[in-house]
Amino acid sequence: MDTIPVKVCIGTTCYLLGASKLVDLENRLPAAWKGRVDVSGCTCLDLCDANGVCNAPFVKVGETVVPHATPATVVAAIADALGEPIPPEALA
Amino acid sequence: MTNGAEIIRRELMIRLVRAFDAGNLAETIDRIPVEMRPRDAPFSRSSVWHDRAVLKYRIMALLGFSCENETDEARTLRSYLEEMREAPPPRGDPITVCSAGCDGCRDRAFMVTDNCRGCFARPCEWNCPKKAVTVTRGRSTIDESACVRCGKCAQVCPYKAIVEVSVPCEAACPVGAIRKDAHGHARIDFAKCIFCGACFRACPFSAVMEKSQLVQLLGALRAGEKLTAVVAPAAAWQFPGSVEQLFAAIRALGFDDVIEVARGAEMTTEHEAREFVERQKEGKGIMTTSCCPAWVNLVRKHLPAFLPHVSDTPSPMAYAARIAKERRPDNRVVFVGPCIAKRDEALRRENVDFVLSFEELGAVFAARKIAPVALEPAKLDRPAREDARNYAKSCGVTASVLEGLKGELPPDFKLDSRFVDGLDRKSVAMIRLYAAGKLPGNFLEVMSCKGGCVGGPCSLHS
Ligand code: SF4
Ligand code: SF4
Ligand code: FES
Repeated sequence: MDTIPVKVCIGTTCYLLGASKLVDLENRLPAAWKGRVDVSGCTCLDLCDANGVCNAPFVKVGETVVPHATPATVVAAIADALGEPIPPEALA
Repeated sequence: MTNGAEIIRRELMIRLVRAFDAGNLAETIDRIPVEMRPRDAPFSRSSVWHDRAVLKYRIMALLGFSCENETDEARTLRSYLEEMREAPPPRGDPITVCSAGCDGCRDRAFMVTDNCRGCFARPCEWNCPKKAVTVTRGRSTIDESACVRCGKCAQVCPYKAIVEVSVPCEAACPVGAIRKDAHGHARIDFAKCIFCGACFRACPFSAVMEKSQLVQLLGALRAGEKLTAVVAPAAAWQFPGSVEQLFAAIRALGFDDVIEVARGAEMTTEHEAREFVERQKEGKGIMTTSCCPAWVNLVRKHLPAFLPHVSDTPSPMAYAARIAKERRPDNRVVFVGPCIAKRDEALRRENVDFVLSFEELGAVFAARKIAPVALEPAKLDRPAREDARNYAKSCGVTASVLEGLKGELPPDFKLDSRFVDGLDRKSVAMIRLYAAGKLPGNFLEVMSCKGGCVGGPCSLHS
């Protein structure tokens, strides 16, 4: 099965507007997702310009952009991409 | 936890800096609230118009004005900007309550919710010491005039049907300085306020704002003024990347020189250790640290008799500003940190001209698309000592001073160091006991913020 790329923007805009809470995302993911999800960081997804700033922080799960990303919404988007229910331990 | 109030405040800062950089701040400043809350867009308060009004007052505070002092509600933000050109707004008290943003939260009370099943056991009724609870027609009710707000009923309900509501700012303030006024809006009694920032953090509407020097500082940088940034040790925990990369980012904003406040902390440590030894030899009793300005304010305003026990050693910021002036005597000095009370301390230090919070610094980076982690690290003349960098964490100060003490005290001397991690009503009550000589100890470290400056009100991780 292909791995799902998850790109967490830690550019300063996203970081300031909430991505600081996403830096430990990888550790929150359930063991069952090991090897199926590939989390990486980047310093700007170029989505924060003009009015985009009001939707930061951004995370890309596959090709899907998650605006106003929080640990909970990103986990939900990954579960969606995998076609699986949200594992409760990922929200703890 | 993601906090929406904090996010709006930061988004506003980013937009303000963007407008400044575009060179049309005066022309666009009154549009910012409209851009953030266009007609038909989702709103957070009663309407977009309410949201816009609140945003306007927030910008006023970001320009450095007290919302309390507004006399003409029709004044434009542009006119405040113009006023700033003539003279910067008076700094004074570093925070302000934006009353349009204050929800006038309901007074502390215990409320019965729909979870109540009017059960047979009715422990709420049986256990209320004032007989204020009665269960009639399958539902518990509390007689507010009899209720003494002890919370017993809430504790004993098996359905968690009784909840406590409180005024977050009032509940958070360690010294009772913020209260609702006759109009039901929070107001700060500045004679009591110690600028700890607890209310700033606690308000879910972010109605308490800092009076910022951000726009003035941007103006100074644009005018090519030579500025030295002195950066608090908590910096190491703020942005992705190293301290050296953060310093490179600060230089990229046009700062002429950047210095670690931790270098000042090294001097504070040395001096404080010597002072402690002297005081012990003279039998002066307990000595407390003095680096946390909110703590010093607490003593000054609420425990004046304890003041002689506060160390006279200058704070790390004061020493760092001295270093800054020695290196570049003509530069103006900007303290960068996580602290509201430092704005107040800076007023009393001749060498500190501006205070910039980490939040504000982050907003400037964001507006200019600077990510410290992507930069080539700056070279530090000499990195500060590890123990001095740890000043930002609670206990760091004590550990640091102890390090400096080794060997200086007679062998029979027993150091008995105590530590207060965060000011709240409880710890203030305990400090009163120290001040009254009712608790043991000869060295008392107090940090107003839990976990130390790293958890400061304007830290990115508060
Ligand atoms: S917490 Fe205090 S300042 Fe904030 S809305 Fe409530 S009453 Fe107003
Ligand atoms: S003492 Fe602290 S919590 Fe109380 S009003 Fe002042 S800043 Fe707010
Ligand atoms: S900083 Fe995240 S999209 Fe630009």
